[in-house]
Amino acid sequence: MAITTLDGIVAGLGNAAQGLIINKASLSTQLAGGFTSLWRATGTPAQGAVPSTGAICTKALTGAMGFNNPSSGLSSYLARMMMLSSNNITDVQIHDRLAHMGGLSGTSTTAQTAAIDVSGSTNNLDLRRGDANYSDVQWWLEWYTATGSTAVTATITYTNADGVGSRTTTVSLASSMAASRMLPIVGSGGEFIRAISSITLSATTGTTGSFGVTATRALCGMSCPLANSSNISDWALLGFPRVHDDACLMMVMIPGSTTSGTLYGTSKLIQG
Amino acid sequence: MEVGTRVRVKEPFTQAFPDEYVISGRNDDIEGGPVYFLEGVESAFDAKYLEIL
Repeated sequence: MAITTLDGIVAGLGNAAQGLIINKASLSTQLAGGFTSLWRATGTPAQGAVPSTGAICTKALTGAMGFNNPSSGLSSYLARMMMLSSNNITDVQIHDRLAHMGGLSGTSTTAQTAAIDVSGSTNNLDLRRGDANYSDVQWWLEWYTATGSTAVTATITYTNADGVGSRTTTVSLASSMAASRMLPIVGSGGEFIRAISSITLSATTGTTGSFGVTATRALCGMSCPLANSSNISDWALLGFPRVHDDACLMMVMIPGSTTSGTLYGTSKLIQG
Repeated sequence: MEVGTRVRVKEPFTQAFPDEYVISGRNDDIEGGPVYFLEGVESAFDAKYLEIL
């Protein structure tokens, strides 16, 4: 089944909504207009762990927004969201964190194994990743500990949506990439990616640090243009995104300043 | 390799840096270094990814 009528939305909001609470501490050393992962921000949901080898993420992970899967045959949706940031000009997105790995070094110049693949069906991944051509999957380099002050280039070796391996693309790493910063990985010529096998840095950044590869699917987002003012999006503004069973809900922010600011919010997940 | 040396960038970075470059700087005091800087390029390179022309 699916919710296909306004009556169904009203019934879901009134009778069967699960509340998701967001209360995150601010992260420093971010980039205005860049991407910040709130996976490691403390608060609610709790701080996520730094991953090691590649793994498929689920709602059972610490760091994910917890919810209960619906009864068999029913579907889940995000139907309302309220956000309040201590910063101006903040954009917050809810993503399903599909897979992640960590432990990459900022001083190694040999190919470092990533081994992260979203083509399987474990933990409902075949539905969670969206379109069969992998166009809904976003790939990132995500920082857990700052790397060094030397700017370098990373070559990403990947398998494209058609299953062709040993494809490469590059990402420029600015100096002193801080923890929780994210850099998008885009396939060569814009092609979609289904697996990433390795990362090679053009030179040492000067500090080992720690970073990894993360795959997400964006579900919805909202802007908080004014500090300390609540902003509300209903089901229509959110796009009524489906939340597939076992989804690992996390937040990705585009901050308007060099901190992420404290973030408070609530959301309603409805099922029907 | 000295500053002023003309080089080409080796795989897997050739696609992003397909031209010939001149080494504009070198840093020996860096963990895992030295690293080399190329004129007009923001990224640093390890010696093994540079080929002297």
